[in-house]
Amino acid sequence: MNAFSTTGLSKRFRRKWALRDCSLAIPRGRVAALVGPNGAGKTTLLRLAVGLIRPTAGEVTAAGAVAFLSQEKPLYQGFTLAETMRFGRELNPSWDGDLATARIAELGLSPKSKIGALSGGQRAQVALTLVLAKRPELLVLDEPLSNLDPLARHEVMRALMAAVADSGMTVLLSSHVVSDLENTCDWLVVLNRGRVQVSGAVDDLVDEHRLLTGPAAEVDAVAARTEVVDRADAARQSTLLVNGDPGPLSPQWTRRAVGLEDLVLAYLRSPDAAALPRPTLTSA
Amino acid sequence: MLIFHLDRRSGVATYLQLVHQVKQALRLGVLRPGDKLPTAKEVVAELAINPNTVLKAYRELEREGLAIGRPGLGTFIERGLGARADHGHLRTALHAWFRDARAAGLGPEDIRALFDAVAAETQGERTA
Amino acid sequence: MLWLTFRQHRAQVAATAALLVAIGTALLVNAATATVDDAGFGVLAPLMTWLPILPVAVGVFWGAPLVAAEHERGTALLAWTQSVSRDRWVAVKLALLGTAVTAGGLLFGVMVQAWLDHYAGIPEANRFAHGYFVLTGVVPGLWWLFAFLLGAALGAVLRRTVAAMAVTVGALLVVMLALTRLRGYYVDPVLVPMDGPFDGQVFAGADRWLFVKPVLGPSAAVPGMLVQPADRYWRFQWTEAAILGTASLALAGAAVAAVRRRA
Repeated sequence: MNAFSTTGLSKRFRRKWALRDCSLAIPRGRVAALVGPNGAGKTTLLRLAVGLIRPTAGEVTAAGAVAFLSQEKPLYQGFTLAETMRFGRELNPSWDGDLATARIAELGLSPKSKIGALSGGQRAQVALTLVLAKRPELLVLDEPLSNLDPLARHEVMRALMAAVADSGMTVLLSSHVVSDLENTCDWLVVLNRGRVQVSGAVDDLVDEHRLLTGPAAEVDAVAARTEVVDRADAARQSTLLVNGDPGPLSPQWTRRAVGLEDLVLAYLRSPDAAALPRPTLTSA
Repeated sequence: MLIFHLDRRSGVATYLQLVHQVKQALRLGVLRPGDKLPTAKEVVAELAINPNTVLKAYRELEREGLAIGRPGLGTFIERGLGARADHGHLRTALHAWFRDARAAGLGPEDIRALFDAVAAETQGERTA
Repeated sequence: MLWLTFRQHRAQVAATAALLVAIGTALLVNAATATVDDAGFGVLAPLMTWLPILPVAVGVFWGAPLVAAEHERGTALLAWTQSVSRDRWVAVKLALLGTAVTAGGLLFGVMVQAWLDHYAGIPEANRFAHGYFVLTGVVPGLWWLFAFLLGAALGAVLRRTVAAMAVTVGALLVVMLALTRLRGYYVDPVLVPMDGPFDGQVFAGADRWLFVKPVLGPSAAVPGMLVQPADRYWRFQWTEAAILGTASLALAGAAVAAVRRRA
């Protein structure tokens, strides 16, 4: 069961395509990372996902209530914390007041404090509380960790992961810092130049990819046996990041598992490579 | 209550780190049969990791028969690891061995290399 | 939404209420301490010539920031990603605040009318003169509403508060000037012939008419003045109210459309 899917999703701003024919699906309960370089179309995809903008072509389907936290984590600066929570309650019938109260207490903040007087990390936590207390089935976060110090990043991630454990909601979050996502995300979507390059479960992707290092003389033969994502050649030695099993290799070759970060970097370096779910044929 | 920690640079998969830590705690007697493991929420609220990772680790422990999940209650230790009676004795012997090794002029690296080599040899003996 | 609307615009509500109290007090004190015969009317009359500008302040401070400030501060992304749809968000805000400014304008009109009534014997205290026409009856309520919606629509389109404020001022002054010119012709004016030379004597009459323009010079068959008789006051009030009301509806539609637009 998918919590979120797009088919042929495209968005053009004036003459420039920000997103082109993007089809992906994220199963329910996943924490999906949307990564890609700046300008890859991440924000466009997320804003389409929550209906802030309309697609030029294609469609977006989200199962259930969606909450969105934009990169700037906007809040009304003049409001107190209590007023901010009242804003959430008044504008959302699904508001979970107990959750909001518990989170504010956990943060050790007074309901009377003004939003404008809070630190960046505290504001991020308040903005997160505002979206979590809506009890969404799909939570969409645009660069939730940007502009935060390392401690605040960790605190925000802890809160987010605890909320996922608690509610089983699906999360779709974007980032251009892959190391933030290791251990937290179990689904990966790589977006590059407005197109989806990779979409899949992190465990599967890590299992399917491997790093092969061996003599340059044999590299072409090995490369021909499987799908090469990225390749680096030195005078005597070559390194291949491959998708799939190349079969038995001569003893001069070593194979190593690939980390999430290496995987993402390899795909971003090779915009033509792709790892997408193969279409499954069902008999009529 | 067991407190997990994470070595983010070890290269070992996170769920395996959790599995190893539970096993380590079982070997050392920190965890005993009947003990409750922390809930996924408790673990992720501490480590900021994906809850599915914790569930995967607990499933692995269940698969090995070390833990059992009771719906609505949590995950509990089903059986211990290693014979704790022998444990203290082995530990004392290892202490003595380490002292000997240091006295023979072996550094930490040398000790580890020797330890790993012997471990690999004896592993071979057992399977052979 | 009711709470949010009040919370976000309580400064405007408070300032406008304070202004209305101040104006009301000034009018009351003036009327209470002056008799019909003395110069009390003359004391406040110069001030009253500025009050027709009041809708400009309404447009600038109530209307222009309504949507523009949300865009500028990034809070549009907060306000429009709640369960309450953005259509509803803007519709409720326009309705509630529109009602508030209309009520303010009507109250203001009642106060000025009461003050004018006190000086019923003075010819210049004429509610049908251009200056007082927009300060009495139902017209001030509609002017305030129109100004508010003009500011709101411009703010929603321009997405910049200061720019929206500036354009609101300009546009309102143009519309005010245009309607002042047009007002004499809502209904065909009546020619009041004049025998002697044109002088102030004409104003001394009991009729509180709306002066349109003099018809003088050799081309005029009968020299005189085009005027609108006093008994047309309410007809004119409702005509101007209808014009401003229709324009207000169009502006509200434009504001809603600008908020709904998802680029």
